[in-house]
Amino acid sequence: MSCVQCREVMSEYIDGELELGVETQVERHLAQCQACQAVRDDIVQIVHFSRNLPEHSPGTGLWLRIQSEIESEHRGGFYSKAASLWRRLTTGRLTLSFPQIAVFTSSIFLITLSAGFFGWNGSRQESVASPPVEARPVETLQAAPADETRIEDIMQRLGELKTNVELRKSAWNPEVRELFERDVLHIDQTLAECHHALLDNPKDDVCREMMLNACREKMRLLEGFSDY
Amino acid sequence: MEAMRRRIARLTLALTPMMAAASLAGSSGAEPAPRFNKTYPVSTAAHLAILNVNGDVKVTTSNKSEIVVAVVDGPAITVQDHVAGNSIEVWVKHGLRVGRANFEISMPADTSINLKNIMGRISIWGVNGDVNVNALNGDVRLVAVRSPSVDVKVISGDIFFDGELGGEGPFCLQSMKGDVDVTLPASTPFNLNARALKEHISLGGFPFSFSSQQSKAITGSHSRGGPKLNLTAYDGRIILHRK
Ligand SMILES: [Zn+2]
Repeated sequence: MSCVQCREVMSEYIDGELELGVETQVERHLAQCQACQAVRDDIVQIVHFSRNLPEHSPGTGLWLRIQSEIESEHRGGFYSKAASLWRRLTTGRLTLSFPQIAVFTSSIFLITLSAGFFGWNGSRQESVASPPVEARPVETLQAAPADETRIEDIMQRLGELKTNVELRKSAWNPEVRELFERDVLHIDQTLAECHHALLDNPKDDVCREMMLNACREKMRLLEGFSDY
Repeated sequence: MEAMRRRIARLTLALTPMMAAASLAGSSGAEPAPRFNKTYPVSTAAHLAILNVNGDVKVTTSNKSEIVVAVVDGPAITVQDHVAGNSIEVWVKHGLRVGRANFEISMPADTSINLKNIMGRISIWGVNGDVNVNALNGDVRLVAVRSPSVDVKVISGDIFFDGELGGEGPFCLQSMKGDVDVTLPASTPFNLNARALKEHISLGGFPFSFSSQQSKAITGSHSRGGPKLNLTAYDGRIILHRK
C-alpha cells in the first residue's frame, strides 16, 4: 500500500469502517511509515477532541464575531461560498455541535488557505502581484465547496502539513527544530486546556472561541514551517 | 611581557585561517558573498511585503520617496524581489537550512507593510500605513506607529505597541505565548475586546464603559468608543498603559 492509498482510507480506518483485508494493509503500512503515522495521530487527536465536546448552542456574540470576520476579511468572489454557508447556518438550525462549528470555521480557514491568504493576507493589497510560486511551495488544498467540507478534510489538511513538515525537518538546523517542537507542544497543551475547560463549562464561549482560534494558529504554524 | 607575547601568538593563530581564506578568495577572483541591498523609488502609499525566515527585521521611516531594503549580517543567502508598480516584495529562499539573515528597511512613513517571519525579532518604527505581521517566534515591537489598521500574530513572543490608532482599524494583536503590551494616548477613543486565557488583563486606568467583564475576557468602550482594539494573549498578560 502506498502513502496516497493509505491516506485515502485513513478516516475510514480510524472509524473502524474498513474491511479486514484493507485494514491489515493499512496497519502494515503504518507500521513502517512514520509520515502516515503522523497523519493518523493528528486525525485521532482532533476527532477525539471533537467527539468529547458536548452539543452546544454558540452564543450570538460568537456568531457575530465569526460573521464579521468573514465579512471583513473575505469580501466578494471566492469567499461568497463561506458567506452563503453562513446565511444557510443563520437561517437554518442554530444548534451546532462542536465538530460542526469547527468544520464551519476551519472551512473558511481552508478556503483562505487555498486562496493563498495565509502568507500575504490583505484586502488592501489587491495590487500586489502573486509572488513567484517557488517562494512558497505550499500544496494548497483544492477548494472544496465550504458546505461539503468535513472535519476529516481539515484533519487531512493538518495531517498533510504535518507530514510535509516531518519530511523537511531533518534538513533544518537543530535550533529551528527545537523551536518548532516547542511551539507545537505549546499549542497542543493550550488546546487540551481549552478542551478541559469546555468540558467543565460547555457554555464558556470565550474558551470555545479561543480553542478554535488556537486550531487556526496550529494550522498557521504548520503552514509557516512547511514552506521550508 | 610574556602575557603580551602569548596574546599576540593567540591572535596570529586566530587570524591565520581568515587571512588564508581571504587570500584564497582573492586568488580565485571570487567576491565576498553579496549582501542584498536595493533601493526602490516609490510614490505615495507604497506597499512592501517582506518574507524573512530566520532573523530580525527592523523597519524605520524616512522622508525620501524610496524604499531601501538591506540584508545585513547574513550568510550568503538568496534574496529575491518582485516589483509591480508601487508594490515591492522581497523574500528569502531556502530559509531554514541556512543561518540567520537580518533585514534593515527604510521606507516612507505612509507605506503599508506586510511582514512574515518564522523566527527573529521584528521592530517597526514610525509607520503610518497599514501594518500586518505574521510571525511565529520572536518579539514584535511597534513604536510611534499611527497606522489605520494593525494586525500582528505571533505564536511565541511578546507584542509591544506604543503609538496611536490612526484610522478605522481594526487593531488586532495576538500572542499564543507572550505578553501583549499596549500604550495609547489617554484621549484615544476605542472599543476594547481583550482575551487572556491564563493571566490577567490590566486596563491601565483607562475609564471604560464595559459591556462584559469576566476574568479572562473584557469588552468595553473608551471615550464613547472608536476603532476595534482586539487583544488576545493565551499564555501571557494583557497590559494597557495611558500616556
Ligand atoms: Zn505512508
